[in-house]
Amino acid sequence: MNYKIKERILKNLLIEITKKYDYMINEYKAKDTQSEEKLLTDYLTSLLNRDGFKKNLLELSKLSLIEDKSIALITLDLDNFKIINTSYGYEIGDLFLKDVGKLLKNISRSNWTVARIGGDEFGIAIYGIRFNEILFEVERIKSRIENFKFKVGDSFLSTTVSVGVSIFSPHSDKDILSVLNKAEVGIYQSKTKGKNIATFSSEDIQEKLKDLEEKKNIVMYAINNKDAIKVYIQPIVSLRKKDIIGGELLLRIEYKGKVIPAVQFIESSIFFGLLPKLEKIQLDKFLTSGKVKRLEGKYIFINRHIKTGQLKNIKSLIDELSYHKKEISGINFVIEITENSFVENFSYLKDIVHYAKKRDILFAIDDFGAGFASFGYVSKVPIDIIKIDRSIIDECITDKKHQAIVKAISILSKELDMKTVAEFIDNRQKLEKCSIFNIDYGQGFYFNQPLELEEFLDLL
Amino acid sequence: MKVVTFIEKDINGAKKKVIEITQNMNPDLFIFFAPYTFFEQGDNFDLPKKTDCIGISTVAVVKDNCIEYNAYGGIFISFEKSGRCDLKKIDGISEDIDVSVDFLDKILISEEKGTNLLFSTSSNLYVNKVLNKTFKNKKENIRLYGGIASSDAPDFRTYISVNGDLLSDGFVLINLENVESFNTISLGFIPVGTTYTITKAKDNRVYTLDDMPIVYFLNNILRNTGITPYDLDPVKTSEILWEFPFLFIENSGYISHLLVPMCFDKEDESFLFYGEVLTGSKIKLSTGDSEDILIDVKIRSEEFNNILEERGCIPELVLNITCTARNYILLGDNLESKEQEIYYEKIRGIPFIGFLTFGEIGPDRMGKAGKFYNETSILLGLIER
Repeated sequence: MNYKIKERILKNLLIEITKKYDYMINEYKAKDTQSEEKLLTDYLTSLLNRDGFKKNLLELSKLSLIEDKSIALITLDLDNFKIINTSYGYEIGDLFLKDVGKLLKNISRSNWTVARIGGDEFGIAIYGIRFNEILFEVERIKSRIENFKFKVGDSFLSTTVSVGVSIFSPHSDKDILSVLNKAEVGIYQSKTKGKNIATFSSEDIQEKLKDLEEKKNIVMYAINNKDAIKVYIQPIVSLRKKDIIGGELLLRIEYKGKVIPAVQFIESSIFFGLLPKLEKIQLDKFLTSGKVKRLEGKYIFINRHIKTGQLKNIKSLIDELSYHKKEISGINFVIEITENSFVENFSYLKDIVHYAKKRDILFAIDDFGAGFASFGYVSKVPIDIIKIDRSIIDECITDKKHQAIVKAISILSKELDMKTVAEFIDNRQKLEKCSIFNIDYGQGFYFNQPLELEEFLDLL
Repeated sequence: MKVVTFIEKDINGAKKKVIEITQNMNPDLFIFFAPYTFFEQGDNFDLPKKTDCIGISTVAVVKDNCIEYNAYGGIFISFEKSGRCDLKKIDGISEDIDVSVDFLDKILISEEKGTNLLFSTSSNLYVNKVLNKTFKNKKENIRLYGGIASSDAPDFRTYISVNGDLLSDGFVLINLENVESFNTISLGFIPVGTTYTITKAKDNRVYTLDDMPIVYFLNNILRNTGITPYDLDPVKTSEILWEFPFLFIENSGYISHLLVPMCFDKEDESFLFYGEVLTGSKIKLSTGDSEDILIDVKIRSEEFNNILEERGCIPELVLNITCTARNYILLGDNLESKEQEIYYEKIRGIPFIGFLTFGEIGPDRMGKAGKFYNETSILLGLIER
């Protein structure tokens, strides 16, 4: 084509655009200055825009001073978003951003403020968050975005995010907007480190994250080398008859010639969403071991960390254990969950407990007395066993108030037809106190440390 | 399914090839591409009785990394698993659109059952109208791909033959039952300027843009070029029209398809397109040259490759349905086979064939079926279930 003509047409088009643009601007100015709300809202995602976000942060910072609460500022920048725009056109890019905005809105909680603060940059303020929860929330946001897929014809678009996080503490930080800047500098640092990374302005959190990453290596090693996952059981003893009634299944990983206890890697495996994989491998190893038939009639406690997303796995665990009990081993399986998880997910779990009951699977509440559960909760569902929290057992030797609590738990449990277990019994005094208060079973180093399955079976 | 493809420069070579291939396989379906003169001369290929045969007139055939103008090409398909094909044809579609809509509506199969291929003569407007009406309220997922036959006859007349019967104003639909499909579509034109609303249109004619007569807009765009709206026609100013196609924007904001202007009608001062334009459509002007087209082809071939990797499968046939006008732009820069060379890099070893069209049929970018395009290139992968 004659390039002179083409150039002329393009110039003419530019003139047309300019005319239309001027017209639109004048029309916009002529209208009333728009409602403030409209000026603070992002036209694409309907989230707050940068100005709206800043305004909101200033209000939150005032409140935080009164209520003495911290505010986490999380800023996210989509990695390689330009490629989506270039490959599919900015119209598709806009639809993608719109859905990312929707996703962030959907995963947000009541104390979150979500905004689109730049082209492909989002900001989240979490009010009143506890220091140790920030890492988990950041990881949750990262993994939700990473798993998000946007369908374009027969293709799926996805992205990762570079994250910058800073924390506004009302008494040490004066200006929340400079804390926002720090978070945005964090994005830049994440990008230069190789994208899909979170950078924290606080050294403590950065160190914590580093530690979790290191522990993740151990967990990943175990998942990829199943032999490294060991089946350990800690015996549970009848305080009256002094015989072993069963034990609690415990996770151990053999790494570089050492057996590593769960306490060292459990936080990392929860953080990176790897715990269900570890638990599954361990349980499979236990259930498929030919020797478990020797545990017929014994009580095997299986502890499960309940996170909302994993609740659905509980039903299939009950089915699996029920089948195993009936068809293979005759073991009395006890699923134990912590008191806090039980209360937080009560509406769902109460049905689950009934479901388990029908399938001859028992339920125990772990760490009872540590949180906010009461007998009001446990009396509403047929819980079978209560495991009393360590803090109460530790104190009951000398402290009369704690003795009263143990005594009350014991009496009420008997009334409600529940058995009691005292955990962490590591000396004779604790054993004697628990026996006096009529606690049914005990668990702890005074009886035995956790043993490998073979050793445990030899004890019986 | 077993697939054998060929390309030959002359009819004798093509006939020889058909005999040679049918001696070694008993095909269920034979789709061939030939110059329009082949159909006018009443020529034919010798085929086994059980083989269904579709012929499409075309300006050029593409195969692997090359393109041949005025050539012959063909695809033999023999189903080996659960696949089968069913042909249905209709002629005289411009006489009664509703009959054609009813016909198409009844014979389309859902994605669950397989893939539909539609090949039509150059009744662009009517095919587009039939598609728009058929798919207006369709809820089920349908895989429909195809193209308008092409030719370099002076009046652009085209032909489709179905088992020896010629269609001059109709289409044939092939139901490929139990054949899965996936695709990419390359546009390659860059949107420029602001969005306009077509405020008055009928069939393929646009009368007003943003409530202003279209001639006002065209006068502005063509100012000082030496061309007036009255000069715009398919032959003399085809380059201008082809290099500035209109992009149509869906309600949700993405570009759904592209249509090329055909000419300006002095009589009623309307601007005509190679397809139906609906009142209320949002449009943007676009521009592109060989470089823009080929950049997009690279992106789409990469996308096609990603789809294969995601699905973990290799197609048994890749069909390329690509526009004559698009090829004309590439030809102007001596890059006529570059598009196929780029595709071929990613699908080497897989039977790859196609033809030049006067219009393409496929889903839009977001997968909504039944769109009619100009100046695009569809890459379609097929696998028997």
